[in-house]
Amino acid sequence: MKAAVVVFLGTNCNVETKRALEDFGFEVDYVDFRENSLQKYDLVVLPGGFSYGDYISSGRIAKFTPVIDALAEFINSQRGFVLGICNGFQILCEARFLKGALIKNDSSKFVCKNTPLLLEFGGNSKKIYLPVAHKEGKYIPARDSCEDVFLRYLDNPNGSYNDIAGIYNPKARIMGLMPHPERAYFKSSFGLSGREIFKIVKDEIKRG
Amino acid sequence: MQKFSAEVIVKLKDEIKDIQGLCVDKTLKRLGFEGETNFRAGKYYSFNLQAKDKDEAKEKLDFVCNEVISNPVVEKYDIISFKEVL
Repeated sequence: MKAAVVVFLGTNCNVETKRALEDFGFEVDYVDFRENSLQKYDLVVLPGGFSYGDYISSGRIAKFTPVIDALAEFINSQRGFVLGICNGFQILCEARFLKGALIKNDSSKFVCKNTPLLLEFGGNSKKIYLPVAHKEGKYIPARDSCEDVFLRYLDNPNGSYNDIAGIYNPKARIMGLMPHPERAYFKSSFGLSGREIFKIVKDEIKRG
Repeated sequence: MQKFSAEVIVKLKDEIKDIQGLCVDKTLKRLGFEGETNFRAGKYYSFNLQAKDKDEAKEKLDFVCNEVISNPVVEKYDIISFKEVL
């Protein structure tokens, strides 16, 4: 399976995301923000970071790059799966691929810690720990509807509505989450719970 | 082409909790201000646009307001000035 890790100006979690995906059996390319086709990939990952300095608002400027047009084509043609982590999740919301918005934390501080979460997917539910690192991670759903919630905080670090940490649109196969699964993947990092997220992604791609 | 200038203020929608505003509210209370101060914070932007006429300039202004400087899910904006630069 081929995966693209999109690199914008200011993305900084691309290396660990690529390493985790490779360890999980994906063939991974870095894809520049100027790229205009993603059709050869089964998975497109928007990793964490501070694209365009978070100017105006997190993810706002990144949505005007050519790779986002390519991502729209990727999604419309139902070519594969899209995963947005942290800043990637913010970009997916800003570009309106996922509903809702992410605004400044209730504490108005940057929060960086390992957080307990409830992972609910495919009828199973499980408590896991993943690290969060963000200042604009408070999720506000759109007024008309909300995507499926698959990940909730057990100790809400940012004031997110209904403790929402991650959402999934199964029809379009787009998933976004604030915690960093790639930072809980190797033994040297924050536990191994990140693998649970990558497993869901892989299973969903296989399911087609 | 005509040149236009715009000034816009973007703020959180009323139903969204404004952390900066709440913090200032508390401070004002501590300083002895009476009653509800209802402090809300916003961001000010100013920019120029070029267009063939005012209608096209308005279209461009709407794009900048809705897509670039605000997110309609959580924010609203007030155009405080929009005029041709002579």
